Amino acid sequence: MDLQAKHIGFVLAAYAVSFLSVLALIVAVWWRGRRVARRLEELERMGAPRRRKMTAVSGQDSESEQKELTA
Amino acid sequence: MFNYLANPTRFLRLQKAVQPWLIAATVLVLGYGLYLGLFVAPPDYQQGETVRIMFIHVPASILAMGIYVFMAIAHAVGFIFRHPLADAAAKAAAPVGAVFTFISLATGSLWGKPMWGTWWVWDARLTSMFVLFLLYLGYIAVWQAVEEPHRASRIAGIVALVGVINVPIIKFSVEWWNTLHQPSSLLRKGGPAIDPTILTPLLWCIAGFALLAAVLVLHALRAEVLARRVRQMELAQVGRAG
Repeated sequence: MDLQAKHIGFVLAAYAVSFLSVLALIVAVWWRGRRVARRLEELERMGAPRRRKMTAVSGQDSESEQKELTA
Repeated sequence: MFNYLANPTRFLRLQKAVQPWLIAATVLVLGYGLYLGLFVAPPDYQQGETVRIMFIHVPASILAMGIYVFMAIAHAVGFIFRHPLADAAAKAAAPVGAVFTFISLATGSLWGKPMWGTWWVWDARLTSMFVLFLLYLGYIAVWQAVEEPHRASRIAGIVALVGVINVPIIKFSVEWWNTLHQPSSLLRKGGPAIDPTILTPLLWCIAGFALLAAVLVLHALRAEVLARRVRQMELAQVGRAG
């Protein structure tokens, strides 16, 4: 790549924008994963149950949700 | 495989095992593709060095459309088969697709200024790509705005399934309308119209971007599965306290 070439600033800017966008995405995804994993550990340490008790009010949605996510 | 991954715990185990290999493959493939694109491929006889923008613009555009199609398929699977990870996979993929769409628009604009003399025109290809970006933002906003997850999933699914109509419009916009954007030179009848010295790095970069997207979506999906567990446990705690 010729760094003295015409319009090279546009090329460098395109790569810089892409790099920074991907970096921000990686940090955001990694940070959310870490935050959620920590919260889960915290709840497990506190002895929180994985399923909530079914009640007549809680309905079928929460039942299917529990089956899905605690499988 | 489809049913095998229906179990979130099994998915978490598999994701953990696959992740390091996927990251290594991403670094190698994308690194090699960018090396070829930046240091080996010759400048274009007309566009000069600006042709190197193609090695990020084209992969980002392909992934932007591909991820949206993936989201629509995931929601369709969720609606039809009630696969427990389907809507979570679509939700996890949305920010990744939105960022690739942003990269496509931004690099396209930076390529357009020196080649076309303008940052932006409201032609069919650019406008439909911008609509895709808005669809991604709308989809993400639905998940943020609707508190009840099943309801959010249903509304987001409708956005994904209706919005996927925009993908063929993006693809064929350069054929259906007279656009400033050039016609497709990669996925076209009769094969790619790109010289092998530029086509080879481009294909490596497309593969690298696809691997990067896979790493990020799988990691985001892992976080989403754990977040749903956290929600269940917090609700259970509230129920126990009440």
